[in-house]
Amino acid sequence: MQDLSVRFYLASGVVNAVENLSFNVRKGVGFGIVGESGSGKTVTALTIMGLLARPPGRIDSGKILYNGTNLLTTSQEDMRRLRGKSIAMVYQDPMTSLNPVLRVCFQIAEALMVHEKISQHEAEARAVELMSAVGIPDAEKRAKEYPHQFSGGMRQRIMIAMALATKPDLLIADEPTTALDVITQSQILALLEDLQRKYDMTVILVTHDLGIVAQLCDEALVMYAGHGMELNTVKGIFSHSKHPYTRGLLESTTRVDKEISRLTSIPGNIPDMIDPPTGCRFHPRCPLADNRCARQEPPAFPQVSGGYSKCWRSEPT
Amino acid sequence: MTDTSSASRPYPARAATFWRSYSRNRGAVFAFFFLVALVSAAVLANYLFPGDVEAPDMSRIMLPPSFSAVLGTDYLGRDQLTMLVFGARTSLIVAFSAGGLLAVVGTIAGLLAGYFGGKVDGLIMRIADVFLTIPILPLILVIVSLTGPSLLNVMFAIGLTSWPVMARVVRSDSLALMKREFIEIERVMGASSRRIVFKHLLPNQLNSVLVYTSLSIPVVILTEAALEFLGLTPLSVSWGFMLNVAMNYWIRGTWWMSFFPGLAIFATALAFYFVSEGLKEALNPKLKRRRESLVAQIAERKK
Amino acid sequence: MSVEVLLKVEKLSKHFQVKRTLSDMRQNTPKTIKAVDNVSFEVHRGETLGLVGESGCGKTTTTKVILGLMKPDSGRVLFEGDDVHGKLPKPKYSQIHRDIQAVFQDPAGSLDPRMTIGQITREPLEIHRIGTPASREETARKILDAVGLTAEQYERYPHELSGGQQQRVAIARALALHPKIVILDEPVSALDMSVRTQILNLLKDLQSEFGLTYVSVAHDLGVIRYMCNHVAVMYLGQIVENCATSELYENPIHPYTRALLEAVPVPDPSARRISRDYLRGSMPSPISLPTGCRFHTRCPHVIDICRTVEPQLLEVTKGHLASCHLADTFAHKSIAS
Repeated sequence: MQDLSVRFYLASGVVNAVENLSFNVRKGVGFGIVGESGSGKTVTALTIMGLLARPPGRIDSGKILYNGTNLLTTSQEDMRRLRGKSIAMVYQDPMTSLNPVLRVCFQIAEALMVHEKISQHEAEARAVELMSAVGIPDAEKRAKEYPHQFSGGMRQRIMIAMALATKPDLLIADEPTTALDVITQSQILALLEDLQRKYDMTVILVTHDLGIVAQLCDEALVMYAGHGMELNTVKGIFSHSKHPYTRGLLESTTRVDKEISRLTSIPGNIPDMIDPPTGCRFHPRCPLADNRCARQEPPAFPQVSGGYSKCWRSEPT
Repeated sequence: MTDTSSASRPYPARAATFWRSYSRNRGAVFAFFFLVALVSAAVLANYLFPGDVEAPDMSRIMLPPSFSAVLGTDYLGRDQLTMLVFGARTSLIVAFSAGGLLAVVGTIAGLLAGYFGGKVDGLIMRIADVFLTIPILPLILVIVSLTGPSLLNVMFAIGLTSWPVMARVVRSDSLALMKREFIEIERVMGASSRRIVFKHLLPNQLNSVLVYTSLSIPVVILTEAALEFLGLTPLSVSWGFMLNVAMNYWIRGTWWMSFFPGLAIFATALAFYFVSEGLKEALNPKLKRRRESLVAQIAERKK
Repeated sequence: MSVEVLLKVEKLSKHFQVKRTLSDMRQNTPKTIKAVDNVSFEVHRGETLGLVGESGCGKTTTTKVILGLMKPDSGRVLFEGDDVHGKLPKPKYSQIHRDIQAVFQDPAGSLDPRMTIGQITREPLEIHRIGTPASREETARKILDAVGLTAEQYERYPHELSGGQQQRVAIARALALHPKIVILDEPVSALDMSVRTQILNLLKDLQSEFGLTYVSVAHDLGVIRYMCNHVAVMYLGQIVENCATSELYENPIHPYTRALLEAVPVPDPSARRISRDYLRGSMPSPISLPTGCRFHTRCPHVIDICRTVEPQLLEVTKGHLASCHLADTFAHKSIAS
């Protein structure tokens, strides 16, 4: 992704959802996009998939190169072919993402029939295979059931099966476990990890949960208010991040494994995306901010690891 | 610094702010003045049109609009403009009183049903169902046979048969509100039922109440018209009556006899609607901030 | 020296009836949801008790009964010795409404959208007719200041505030009457990460400043560990474990607790452990509860007795209660094994 800027042109103003975002994802890597609400992470994911609602959204600049092809200049037709065949997406809410009136195996088979031109019978047989691959017990029997007959965790597995039907190279998962309870969440995360390894897939995982990023991803991008603040290996982010926002997040996360007497919170609120702060978007809340931070937006200083840190404090001396 | 929020300032200041917010909606302002003019005309009718207005003048029956009779004359030769103004009296009285009755009774019934739920709700709704099934014609026939025709009867009859629908609307809104967390917190804090119902349930439903009331007004006026046609009321002049009479004569091409009363009903109903829309906007806290003066807004940004 | 028990929940049960179809009635299948089943625990003055569990475990229903919003089907809720649902003289009743307050999950939903922040904060004072309008305003302003809001926000409406600020208002309102105990029902789950800790720290500070006792209901184990000094774990309407916080996280006994703790992804890449030996199956429907131990359908350590006999909540080690037939075995095994 190079210099992506996405804005929403609304009656009340212009929302700078994503600004000048750049990052690379290598094949086979587990890549996390971390951010809170308003960070632009979901908009980024939707833009990659070509599912951004335009209007009111508009891609004002940038390129998204997928295997060399710029997705932003690809035609609708070609995007449709790519979507579901090479790039697949799993959404947050399994309740509303499945069609309640269609049988489950049909919904999985649909993707196959559209992209691989095989018969319904064959596609449904493959669907059953996929269902057991994602860990649904009694797949053969349950394939004929409807979404409402499955629990939340099971529905999410079905969504994953649908996404994997065409053996995509890239899987984008947008908060896939937020609506699930802790135990189901760990099951789904384990499933994703296994599948990624088995099919050598590239996975882009969008989440706000630092624990998930630590456990599942190799590299990550930290976003705040539409900007890519830090890009680094996961190990790098958690052990020696130089970016104040990342550090702030880490220091304010509650832990299950350690007893902490006092967490340091990040003061202030998430900025208004129609009228964001000048200079560095994080400066009003940053303990290290100075005048320059308020006036000038820092560039993304490249780091040793190959990533970057968008902060004046990370400027190489 | 004293609290300058609207709830605690003296009335004149509150009225001024209210008017400022209300007047943002030009249609609502226009409608408001229209109604004021209408009501004034109705009240002052006797002064505006002195003399025996109802006296028939058979030499001038059913004349189309002209200089001497701007809106034409009716089937008895009377000037339609005069008739309309006098008719406004009846129609407005019925509209306001029956409309008010159904709004008040319906709202209270709905609030009680929604707040208490359970048996109380069941009881109120069954009563409402009973009233819903009472057809208005037989009802007014019964009332009239007992007490003779009068405007009060008309008001009662219409109010009694229309409140159940209002009650239903308010009830469903109330039931939904009762589940909201801020209502639960009120109960946790120990608020009395009266407080919750009138300070929290009702204000949060003003939209529905206002809209429904304003939409009921034309229905009320027309119902009154039907009742008059059957001679069940003592009044000989009202818009509805004029309309009904006109229906017998339209084949003669006397379009002005139905057009103007019809227009009057339509305009009044529309005016009520715009007023209620204006009220809705004026009372909506989410729109209040935008009405602050530019100065205040600039001052805020500097902080 | 034992600290006084402020709130005592005694064998509390709350059932909900579900409509039965004709075939249900013929087969005599019960259709009650035992949302809360025979739950007992104590809350000592000054402490923070955490109620943890997944959705559907009954923790929210329990709080609603404690707050008086629902009546229990059996059992009692005792506040300073008085039965909250019993027949109390008016002044006592009024006092309880002042002493027990709550902060709920949805920050916007718990504030009346038609009232200003100032009005919302003064509301509890008005309900209980405390002071004069002027003194109420003063108290309200002071409390809003204490929760970190500015003076000019006094006249704003809820929709003009961010989620974190709205929650601060809810907290201010809860504190206006200087309550003794505040029930926090998922106070931060609807908030963004960077704001969550602000609110948690605020709650902690207010606790020491005002001498409050908290019951904190949550599903996030990290929040519970940070906020609470005592924890009760609930599963399908029952308490399965109850002990001090450090005990729970270091020496969990009940298999459900252990599974929960293992399932939480830890923000530390070197401690890479997406556990693979997870529980079987999914949570049973509360309408058709498993026989014996409710957890037996998913428990990796299930033995015969678990299927038939319901275990009791017993003290396994000092101050540590758990309801499991194999509790003693687990008590002496660390979580790593």
